[in-house]
Amino acid sequence: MTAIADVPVPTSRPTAPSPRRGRSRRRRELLQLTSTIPALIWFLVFTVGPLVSLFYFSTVNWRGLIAPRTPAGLSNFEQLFTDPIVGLAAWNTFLQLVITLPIVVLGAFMIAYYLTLKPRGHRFIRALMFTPVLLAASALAMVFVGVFAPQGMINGFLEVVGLGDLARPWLADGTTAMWAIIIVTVWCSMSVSAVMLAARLNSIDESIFEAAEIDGAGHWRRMWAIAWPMSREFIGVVTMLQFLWTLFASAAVVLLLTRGGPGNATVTLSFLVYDFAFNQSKVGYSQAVAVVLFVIGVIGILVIRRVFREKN
Amino acid sequence: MRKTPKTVLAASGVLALTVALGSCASSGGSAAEDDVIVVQTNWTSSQAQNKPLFDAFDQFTEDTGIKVKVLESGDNLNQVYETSLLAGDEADVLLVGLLEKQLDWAVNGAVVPVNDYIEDWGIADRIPDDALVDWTDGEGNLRAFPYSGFTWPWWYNTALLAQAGVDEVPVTADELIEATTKLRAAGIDPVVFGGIDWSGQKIFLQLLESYMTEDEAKDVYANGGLCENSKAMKGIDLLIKLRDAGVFVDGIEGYTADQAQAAYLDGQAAIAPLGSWAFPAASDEVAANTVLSGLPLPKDAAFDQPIAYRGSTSAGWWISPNGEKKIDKVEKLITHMFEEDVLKAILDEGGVIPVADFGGDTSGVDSPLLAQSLVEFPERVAFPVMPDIYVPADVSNPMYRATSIAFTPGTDAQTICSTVDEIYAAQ
Repeated sequence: MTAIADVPVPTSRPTAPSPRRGRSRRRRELLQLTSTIPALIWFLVFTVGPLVSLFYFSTVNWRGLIAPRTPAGLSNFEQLFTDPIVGLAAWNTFLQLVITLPIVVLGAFMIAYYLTLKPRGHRFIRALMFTPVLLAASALAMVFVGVFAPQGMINGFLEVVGLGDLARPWLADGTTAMWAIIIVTVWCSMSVSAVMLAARLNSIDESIFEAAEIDGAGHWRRMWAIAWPMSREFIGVVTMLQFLWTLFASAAVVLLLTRGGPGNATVTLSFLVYDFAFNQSKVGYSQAVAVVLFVIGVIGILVIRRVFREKN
Repeated sequence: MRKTPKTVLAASGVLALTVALGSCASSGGSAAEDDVIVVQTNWTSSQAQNKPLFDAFDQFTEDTGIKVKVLESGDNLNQVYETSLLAGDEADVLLVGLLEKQLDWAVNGAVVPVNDYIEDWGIADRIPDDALVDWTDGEGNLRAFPYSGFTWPWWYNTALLAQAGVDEVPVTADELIEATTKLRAAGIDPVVFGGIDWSGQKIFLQLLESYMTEDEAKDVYANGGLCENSKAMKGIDLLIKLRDAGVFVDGIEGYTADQAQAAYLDGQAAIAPLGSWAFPAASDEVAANTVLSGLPLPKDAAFDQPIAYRGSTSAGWWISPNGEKKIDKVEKLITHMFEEDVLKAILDEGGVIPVADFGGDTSGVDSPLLAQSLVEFPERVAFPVMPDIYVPADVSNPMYRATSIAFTPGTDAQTICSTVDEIYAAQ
């Protein structure tokens, strides 16, 4: 008969904690709190503060940093829900998200899986994939302006292969400009996401894949039936980061390549936040758009978390 | 054993962090900064034509002992200045042009009006009246000291024209179309400019006002209303006529100003409207083959000659609220910069056209294009209203992308005018 021999038997009656010990614990907790105060202050001032000010400034009319502010109530929101340019920007943003996210996440995952096979030169490939991160946004813009220019790389290639009739000013044509923006967004995002996912896949025990290989599973099956479910939650994190980057930070791509043109063909919500504030002296209106973006961002994060929540 | 080390360590850390954060704040001027003037400008030291400016700063320091600290800014100069203004840490003076947000600076208190200073310092008499008018806002504030101007001629490469069998520089719209046909037949690109950006906007507006009087143009620039203005619509029709006749290079709507300049200077395109800031970039061969003229117009246009822009708003000396606190030193700097030898150096070596009277001696001008722009060019062209100081600050940037659609093949006049009018209506 096995006795539960490992449970310690108290040798004396338990006593109530002494006041001295309680004071010591309180001091310890106070000390811990004190050491986090600088970080808390930083967080309140530089994260919560701007967030609160975002909502405040969306309710004022404000032409610029040095101009006076006047209360506007909810009129900025009333205007933006009937503004055709904001509607167009919302559509372009939606298009950008629904096209970019699946391509980037799925493409990055496949590249990451390939990298885990450690092909020849895989370290070089990993380093190469960080190139977009190393390029400043302005340098990136110069590269792609040259690629898409009327005398640029794409048109030059089309001429060489005898498809010169298809050549066009890609960034200035209303039917192609937004697609050019999306291509650049995908190019910027794919590689970094692949490197992140590769790091996660490398942590999966190789014996699992070996066992599957012995059982006759090919790479495709191993990728989607083993690697994908095992990395599901991390893929959700990458998807979330990609969603947030596309929603908020891709305004730089628009600004540097097309400035929202031709006409308003490539305006996005995040670009409008910049354009209304700095080019059209409508800071309050731009913050109203930013509030809408914030709400979309929060909803998007919650949806992605729910979709990629690891199943037990 | 009492555990004091961790407590002391934590408290010390909080204290150190507090002190560090506190020291991040600007402590304002110190005694050492009293002998410094901070100049913010987009005339960067990396551009060779700005060397005379920086030489003049060095000479000023040598003469007065006052150091000039230059804050070089690019396209973000407005944001940088306004942000620093809010912090009370703005530059003392600025050397920058008059367009977009700068139009409202004097009204908003971002800069100090210089109406009295320009008189008291003896500079007003050397500035042409029309330049003073350009630099004065709607409330009578003289925003800054007008310093440098520009011309914006249409450059004609006579070697390429001759290669295509065009013997004379076109002076009418029909001659321009005829020349274009010959150029295309010879495989030479005709007219090139930055259809996608600010340079295309200027050409759009130049065509727009080709049938208007000066007052009519100013009104349209300030208020829009293109679709209801018959003369503006005639200008748009002229643009479409030239566009559809192939006068503009293929894909013009996708060209940037830099790409257009490169296309002309590399000898790919025969004609390009380029500003006087491009003179230093022209090779000797291109300069020797270039005739400066203007946009050729139909015979029924409002101008008898081809038209080209010129302006006095390329750069001015602005005084900030901080600068007004050091007004004696600022006076010394600005009067030094308006000395004849400084202006002459900026003209001769930098190729920059001063607004103020510099004595009239252009013998030292090395650049043949600059020399041409000062002597023969004004005889060949008429000068229409320069739009920058009349188009509202909030309209300029959206207008760049709106006018690009005008150069897209197939865009009709109604679409063009309504796209631009929507921008004015949204303000």
